[in-house]
Amino acid sequence: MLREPATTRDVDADIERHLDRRDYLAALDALVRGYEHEMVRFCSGMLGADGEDVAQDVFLGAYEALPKFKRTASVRTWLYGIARNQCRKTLRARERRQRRDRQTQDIAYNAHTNLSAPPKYETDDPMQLLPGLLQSLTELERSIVLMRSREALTHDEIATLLGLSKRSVERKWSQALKTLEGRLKNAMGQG
Amino acid sequence: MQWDRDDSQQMRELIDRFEANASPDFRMRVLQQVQQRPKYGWIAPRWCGWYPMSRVAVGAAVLVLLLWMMPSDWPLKQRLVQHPPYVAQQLGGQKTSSQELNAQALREAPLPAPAVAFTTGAPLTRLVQVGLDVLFNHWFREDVKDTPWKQESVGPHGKQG
Repeated sequence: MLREPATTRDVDADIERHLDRRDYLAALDALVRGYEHEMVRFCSGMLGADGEDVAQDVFLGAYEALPKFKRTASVRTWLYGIARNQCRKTLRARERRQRRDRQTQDIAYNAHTNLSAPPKYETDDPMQLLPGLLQSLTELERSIVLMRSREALTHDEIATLLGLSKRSVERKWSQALKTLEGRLKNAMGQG
Repeated sequence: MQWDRDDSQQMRELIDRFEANASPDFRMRVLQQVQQRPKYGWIAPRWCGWYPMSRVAVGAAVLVLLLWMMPSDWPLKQRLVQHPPYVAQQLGGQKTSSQELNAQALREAPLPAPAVAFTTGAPLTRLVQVGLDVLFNHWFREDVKDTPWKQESVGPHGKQG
């Protein structure tokens, strides 16, 4: 399913109209209506779990940033930028927690969970394997793959957002797809 | 699903089919959260109750200022900062008859005369100190009469008995 330009334009125009009147609550309402599923999907893909909670924080962050929104980028690009930062923040917190847990866990637990071992998959349905496989990519690759999927953002927009060149984004995207493809084949072979 | 083509097109299609939808009450929850917090300014984290940070900072600064300006022999400061006599009392210090006498003397001791305080220090600081002095002497009068470490500040009255 590709993005529908007319719908997106309508949503963005609606948001900008509210911003002109400085009605930030109405702008947020329009923002949530237009992008809730997209943001939940992005955050879930980025984090694997807690996607909806983080998407909620994304909209709260967007609400805070609405008065400062300069409209140099599209609303969608701006929102993806907030979402990516929020996901990175959550991932960092999660890593810190995991590191702490690993330090305090006892030997028995350590013996049971071999963190370096390849994950075991119990299905060969690619749709069920995909969320786990996405998590095996780096955070940057995952961001690019999810921003690029359903043609949500163009390579140019992603490049601007991530501070990379367009060529670099294209290369990382195709590398990530190849990596995913290889891992999916392996997982399906296991299943 | 068959995975037969050796290109990334099929992978792209698969990723496009990845779904994670927001729950039906998602929008309401976001709007509710927003309405609970102030509209502008730097907001304290959720666990701080969404207060504006400016208010939190001013509140904290006022508390620190109050504590700093309190004379060191006041019970509240003794408890918060310099608590050894209070701790000693907690650790088993018993009320003695001499302490009761001292407490009696303390009850009879006059309140410090605020006018004297204006003669030294920066006027505003002294004014605030005098105000606090009067305020806390009234508030903690009941407390003061039972505190043995207050004996020192009582002067000749404290040495009775």
